[in-house]
Amino acid sequence: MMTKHLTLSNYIKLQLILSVACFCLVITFLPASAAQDNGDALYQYYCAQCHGEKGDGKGINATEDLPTQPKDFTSPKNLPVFTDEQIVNTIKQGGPKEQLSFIMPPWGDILSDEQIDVLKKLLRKICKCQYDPAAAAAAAAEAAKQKQ
Amino acid sequence: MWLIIHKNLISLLLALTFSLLFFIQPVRADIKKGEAFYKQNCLSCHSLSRTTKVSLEEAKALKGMPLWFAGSKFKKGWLEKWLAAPKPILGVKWGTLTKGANDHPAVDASKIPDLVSYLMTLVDAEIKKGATEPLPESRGKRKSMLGKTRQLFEKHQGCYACHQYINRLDKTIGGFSGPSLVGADKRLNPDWVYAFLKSPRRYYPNGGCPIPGESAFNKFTDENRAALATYITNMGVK
Ligand code: HEC
Ligand code: HEC
Repeated sequence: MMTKHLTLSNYIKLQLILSVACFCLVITFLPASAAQDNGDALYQYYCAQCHGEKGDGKGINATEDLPTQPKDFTSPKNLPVFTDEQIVNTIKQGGPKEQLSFIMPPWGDILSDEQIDVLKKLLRKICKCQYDPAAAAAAAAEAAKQKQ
Repeated sequence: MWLIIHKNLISLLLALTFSLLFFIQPVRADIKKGEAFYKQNCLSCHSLSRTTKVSLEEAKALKGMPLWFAGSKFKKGWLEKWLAAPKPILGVKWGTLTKGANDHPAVDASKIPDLVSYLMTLVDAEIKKGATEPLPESRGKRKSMLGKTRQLFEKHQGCYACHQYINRLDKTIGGFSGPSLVGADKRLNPDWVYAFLKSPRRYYPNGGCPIPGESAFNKFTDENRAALATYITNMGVK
């Protein structure tokens, strides 16, 4: 048998070579898929069917049957009222996490935290906006008024 | 003379019974032939290997969905009918966000038995049988069960944002990016739907369908999954 002739040092060498080979294989193949997808590709694959290819909320799934329409990211009314954290939470855990509609699905089991961060940055680019506390306060006051 | 006629008669009778036997014997489907047909006509679009997550670039280059679990997913009768005369399933042109139907190649009737018996051998051995409850017999119980599971489908998760389905008023409504669930009662096996709701990325690794998992705010329980699998595979049933 082969193993009988394998001395200890040869065995260790073999182990070393094998682990290096494995490691190389892993690093060439593993991150390739996740890292390649840029924000645009992610958005068009996972979000555009509802939020529209341009982010205007007019995706093919935005039918009149929905109780809540997908948000228009280009409108100055929508994203400025959300902090970055709220946007990330919404994407990761779904609308209900931030008291939004369940029609906004959770993506945390499909997208990595880095990918969600990339998407958040893309949304900020689409709306050309940052979080605006004044706008958020105005929106909250408006919502409270409507509730009365 | 008599002997000759007699002999001829016997052989004629024999020939007749043999040919009758041949016709009466059910046509046995040939799995090997079905496999060869699949490799020639289907494999270029429908992969048979369990794939892992790929880059979206690669995902877009695929021309059809994987079918390595076809025998677990589909009902045999549906495959036989659909492959002979395919009707649209997705609400969009493959690989796009353009509404519309996909032209699918139709299979000649003579090839269907072999092909379908081959497809039925493509099972996912890890799928548990009987994870879902059948519909109750009594009309009242059935209605209350379907009513509850409809709530899950409509209000808890909003599945119809992407899938066409039949609502309480018998109207077909819903989004377009996913496969239509109208006719899912004839198409899908409940055990597979349950397995899919439990581990969606096992079947479609890039995950176009955001089934709530560990990180979701509105989570599913196994009971929810079983109820939904029953609801979906009884679509339109009253
Ligand atoms: C099934 C349709 C659907 C898909 C797919 C979808 N969304 Fe949404 N999204 C919605 C709806 C509907 C709302 C509005 C919820 C509300 O207002 O209560 C929303 C709201 C949001 C919000 C909150 C913004 C605001 O101003 O209120 C963010 C952020 C968001 N979506 C990001 C995304 C991202 C990123 C993706 C892709 C990973 C995505 N969505 C995919 C339907 C969808
Ligand atoms: C040119 C690529 C192509 C070829 C060749 C092809 N298919 Fe398809 N197949 C598709 C597409 C695209 C769909 C989605 C159709 C739709 O949405 O209506 C599909 C759908 C299906 C479905 C339903 C899948 C599901 O998940 O609901 C089955 C079953 C199927 N094909 C079997 C076959 C078989 C068997 C063959 C060989 C005879 C074949 N296909 C050949 C592209 C192809």
